[in-house]
Amino acid sequence: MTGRDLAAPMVLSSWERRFPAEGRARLLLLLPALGFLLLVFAYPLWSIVVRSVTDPQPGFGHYVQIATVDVYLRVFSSTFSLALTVTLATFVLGYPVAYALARSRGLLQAILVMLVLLPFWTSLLVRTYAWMVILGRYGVVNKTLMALGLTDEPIRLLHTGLATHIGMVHILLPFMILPIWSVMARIDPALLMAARSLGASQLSAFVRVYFPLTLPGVLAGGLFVFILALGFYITPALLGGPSDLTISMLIAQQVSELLAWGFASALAVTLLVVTLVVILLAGRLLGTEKIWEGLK
Amino acid sequence: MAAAELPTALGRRGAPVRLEGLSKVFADAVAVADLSLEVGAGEFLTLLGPSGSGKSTTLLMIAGFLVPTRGEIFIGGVPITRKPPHERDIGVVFQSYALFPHLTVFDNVAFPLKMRNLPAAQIAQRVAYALDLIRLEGLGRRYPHQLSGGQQQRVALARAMVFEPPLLLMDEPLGALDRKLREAMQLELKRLQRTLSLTVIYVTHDQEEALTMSDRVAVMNRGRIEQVASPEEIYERPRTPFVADFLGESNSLGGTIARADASRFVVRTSAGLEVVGCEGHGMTEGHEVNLAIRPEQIVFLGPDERSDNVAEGVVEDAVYLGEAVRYLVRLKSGELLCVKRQNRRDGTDPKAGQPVRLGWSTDAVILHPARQQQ
Amino acid sequence: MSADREWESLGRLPQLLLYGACGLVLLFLMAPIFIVIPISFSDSLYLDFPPRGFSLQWYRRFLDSEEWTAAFWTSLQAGILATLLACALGTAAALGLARSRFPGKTLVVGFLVSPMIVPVIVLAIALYAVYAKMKLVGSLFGLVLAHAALGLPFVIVTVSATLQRVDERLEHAALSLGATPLKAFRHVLFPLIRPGMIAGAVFAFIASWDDVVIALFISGTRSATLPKRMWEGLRSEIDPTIAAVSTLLVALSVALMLVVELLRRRSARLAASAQYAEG
Repeated sequence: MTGRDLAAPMVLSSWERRFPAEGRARLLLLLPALGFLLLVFAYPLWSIVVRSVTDPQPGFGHYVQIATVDVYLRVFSSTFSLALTVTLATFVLGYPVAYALARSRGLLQAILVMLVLLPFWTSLLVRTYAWMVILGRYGVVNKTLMALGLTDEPIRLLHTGLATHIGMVHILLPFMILPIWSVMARIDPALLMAARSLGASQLSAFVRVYFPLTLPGVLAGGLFVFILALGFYITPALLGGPSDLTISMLIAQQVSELLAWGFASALAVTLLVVTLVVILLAGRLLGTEKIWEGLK
Repeated sequence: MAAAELPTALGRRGAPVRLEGLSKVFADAVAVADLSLEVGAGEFLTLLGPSGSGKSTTLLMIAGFLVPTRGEIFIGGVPITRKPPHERDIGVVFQSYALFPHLTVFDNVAFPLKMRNLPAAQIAQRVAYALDLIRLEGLGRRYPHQLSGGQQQRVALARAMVFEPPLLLMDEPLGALDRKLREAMQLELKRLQRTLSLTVIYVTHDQEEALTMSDRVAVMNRGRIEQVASPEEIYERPRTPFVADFLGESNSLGGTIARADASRFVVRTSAGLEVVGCEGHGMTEGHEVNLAIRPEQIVFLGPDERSDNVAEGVVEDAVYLGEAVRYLVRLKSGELLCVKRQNRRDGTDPKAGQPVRLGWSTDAVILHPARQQQ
Repeated sequence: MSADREWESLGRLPQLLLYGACGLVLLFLMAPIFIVIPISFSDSLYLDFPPRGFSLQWYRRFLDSEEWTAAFWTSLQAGILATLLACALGTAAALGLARSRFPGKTLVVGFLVSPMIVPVIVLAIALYAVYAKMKLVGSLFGLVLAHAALGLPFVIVTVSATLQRVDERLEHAALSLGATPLKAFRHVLFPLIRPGMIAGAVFAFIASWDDVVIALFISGTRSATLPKRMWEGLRSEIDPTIAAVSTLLVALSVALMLVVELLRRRSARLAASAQYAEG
């Protein structure tokens, strides 16, 4: 008989309430991963935040520059519009594919899935390289055009904004298709049948019932593509022209060529903050569970 | 075939269990409040109660998956409250069986023996014996998903018993089985428990099951034990209105004691009916009380028959139950009584609308002081 | 999922349009990848398509070049080590998160998953800054740490998803039968979450293997990873060796994709049989 135990209060302290005795030991398992990320991830990020306001001298000078100097504002806005265009393009191209995936069965579906997943699994560099080959001076497109007699000289396709757009759409397309498909797969066909039985034409049922139901997947995919597009570096760097500068290219430039660490840090922090703001806004508008589901 | 016959038997028997002042508080509610209980070695004790009564919580605390807010648990006199579940040496049969899907039946049953580092030959022998005992010999190589519900349940049982635990806990293990299978399993379980002299604490909300299998029943309500006694005592002499109502059916009447002496008492119900009973529990005139009368103890009297208690009324409804018929009789005094009568089909069954005379003995009257119960 | 007959069939025209559009998009997706393959077998120095002759010279170039093979080994080493680290940390974290509630859990989960969301360039220069001070630039150790951080979220997500489907009472049963928490993990949990762990490991490996941006900054010149070497090649020479490397990478992608798909089916079967067992 432990006198201490029998005298223990019958009301839980707030600590006990929030960390019930049964689960306490489990939480220790979280510590290695948390510690690791704090060290390798959070600390470096923090250090560039600090750097952005201390290098070369304390103050918000870099941020003022970003907000006021025309060049930088243009880089930000052009990256933004690039991301937006790419997102829209992937939506237009990806929605039919997701729909076809959702409607197909068996072998056809398996093949379609493979066709969507294979690019997804292929290295970013390989795909970008492929576009360099296709759009180059003596690449597939130019060769075909010349063979067909449509032009005498190879057209400048590579190292243009168009090439960047095409490359990015190609790479980000699976990221749009998969979330939309996953939401479509969970739609109960009975809903469409109900709409039809209530007098809607096929088109009407699609526009009024089906499409709204797929919206969570569309928005999740759209958000993901947009965020990825904002931070893209490799593809614009390889496919774009000298005037197609994205934020990430600018950051890389500032670090490798100019060694302007303070400014580069400020740019990076700005990009990070913009990304987080977009996510938060989307989360607020859509509800975070839907996005989470889309990611699976 | 007793376990002791087995040459490699560990030779262990069920141990006595003691719970002292056990309590469990969750963030928003008290699930178990100051529960104390003693279970004898080799006894089959059932925790019986509705959902939310705290019976499963108590079981989980004994098993070690919940930490008591207060109190101690002793097995064979040894306190185990601070031991983690894997050191408690208790067998647990879960409601959903929890068989390991990636292991064969043999490996499932062998698991606790393997965890205790028994030699392989001994394990093989013990598992074979256990499978034999539950009549599943030869199915050792199958996987759980290839077995029927009843078979899985038996494998779960064998797995929990094969290491001869001093205590076996069962949490509504028969809930998922259909009626016939359930009744067969109840007998099986009882037989096994007796054969192996296991101490069993069994949790269920099914009162029939509790009455059939247990040596003693502990009726729980809102985290407390209302009564612990043999099935007969619980049913015949329920100590509180809750117990009276939970086990079997009962007619509940409120009233005051009109007269009382050493051997009899008379209660006048709020509607004016006078009921005579014999065990007054020392209560006196004026006391507010609750009466409980079991439907099967009320009989339909012939025109000249007499009884300790007689009441007149009209049959309002007769429900056919197969082996019995349940009647609702509206008394002249206004109360509605439920009467249960074996289906005799000899033409004497009362019909709806028929005026009748009801009778019951003083033994059939269960008296409780009126309290804010239920 | 619904049977085919539950979907109302589209008219001829819509169906044609749908599958036509779909086909075009898929062609757009697939074609570039396969263009790379023939080039790798070309016998000329130029990026010709279609190539004029057949030759394995670019593959030989790749295998003979010390730069390329060194890059390959660096990538492989980093990938394997980073994956192991991510798996260990991630599985532990997923176990800790499963079935537990505590204040701030959403924040913790968000933090653990955030390496997936943060733009890579930001992380790359942040690590470069820190590594430069700690003299870790160009070290395998630094590379493994960075890649493990990239892969961690994948492992956590896949293992958590698998854990959700495992009945909690199986762990309880194992403990009640005398298994210490470690043994319960080894004998009961691990076999059941193994498919999730492997899937997570594959994703983490790919994250490391394909990473360009971080490697660009922190892997130094002498111990460059394969993607970094490719990047340099693409920026300067554009020699068809890259095509050969690309083809090999595509082959690897196909193999990994098949592995994950097979695993997915296997774990679905196991989960289905476990559910059936519940009676």
